[in-house]
Amino acid sequence: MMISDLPHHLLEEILSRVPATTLKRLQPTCKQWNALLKDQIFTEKHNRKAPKQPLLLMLKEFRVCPVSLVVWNPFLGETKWIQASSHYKKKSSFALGYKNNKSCRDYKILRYWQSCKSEDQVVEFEIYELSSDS
Amino acid sequence: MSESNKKISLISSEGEAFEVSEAVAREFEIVAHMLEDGCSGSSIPITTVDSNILGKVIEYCTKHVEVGNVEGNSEKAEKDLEEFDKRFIAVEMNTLFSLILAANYLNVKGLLNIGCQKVADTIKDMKPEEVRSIFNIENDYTPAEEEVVRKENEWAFQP
Repeated sequence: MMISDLPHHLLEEILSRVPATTLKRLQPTCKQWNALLKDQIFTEKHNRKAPKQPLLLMLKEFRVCPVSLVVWNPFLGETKWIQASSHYKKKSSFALGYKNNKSCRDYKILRYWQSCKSEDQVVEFEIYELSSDS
Repeated sequence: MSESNKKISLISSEGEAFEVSEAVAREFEIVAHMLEDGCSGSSIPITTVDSNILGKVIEYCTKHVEVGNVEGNSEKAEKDLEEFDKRFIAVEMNTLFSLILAANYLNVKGLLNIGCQKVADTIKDMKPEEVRSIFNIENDYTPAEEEVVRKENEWAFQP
């Protein structure tokens, strides 16, 4: 009895319990594993079952002054460029968060900007939703 | 405890009979459904599972029924059961896969769960080469194709 003797759904059941970074490393194992690990339905199952790994969000500077924004999902190897609704102001702060929907997580990005002049407090908030691209 | 004392024989693929209480047999969801559907026979053939594996699955279910019947001190009981599960699942890989397959067929969810988790924990720190050799998986990539997939996932190989 070998792992290849198990039906496909049991292989899925096993691999959906392996942490995400290990799975990424195991994609070159064979073509069947590579195809399975890239599959969206598997990814959602994995999201529910696998041990959660800490997310580290790194900012070189606390406040950044981007020309445009890009979001990167290292597991899927996908990137998404986000169009600014208005010109980003200097020294905006960004935060990434999500809401748990039935089928998947709905990620949102918050942009926060505060005027530097203390006598004239101006605060700006903007929320971008990845699923609706708005 | 209003448990019936009825005994049921589970017959392995080799034709060996394992006599168990109805409560233990009902841990196999497939058997529970048969009983609910009015299958009144006292012997049930489990044609796809051999004696060795069927014996082990029965051992697992018997322990879980026993612990489930003990009242009070549930924390200690739970700990004991966890220890039992750990020991129970510490078997060779081919036995583990047979147990997973049997647990899936017989629909013993707890066993399926700990079996899959055990394999996942074994895989966790491995490289593709190790996974291939331990699980006997054929590398069906050409060296060039493998290089492309490795490049795509390069960051995950870095310490």
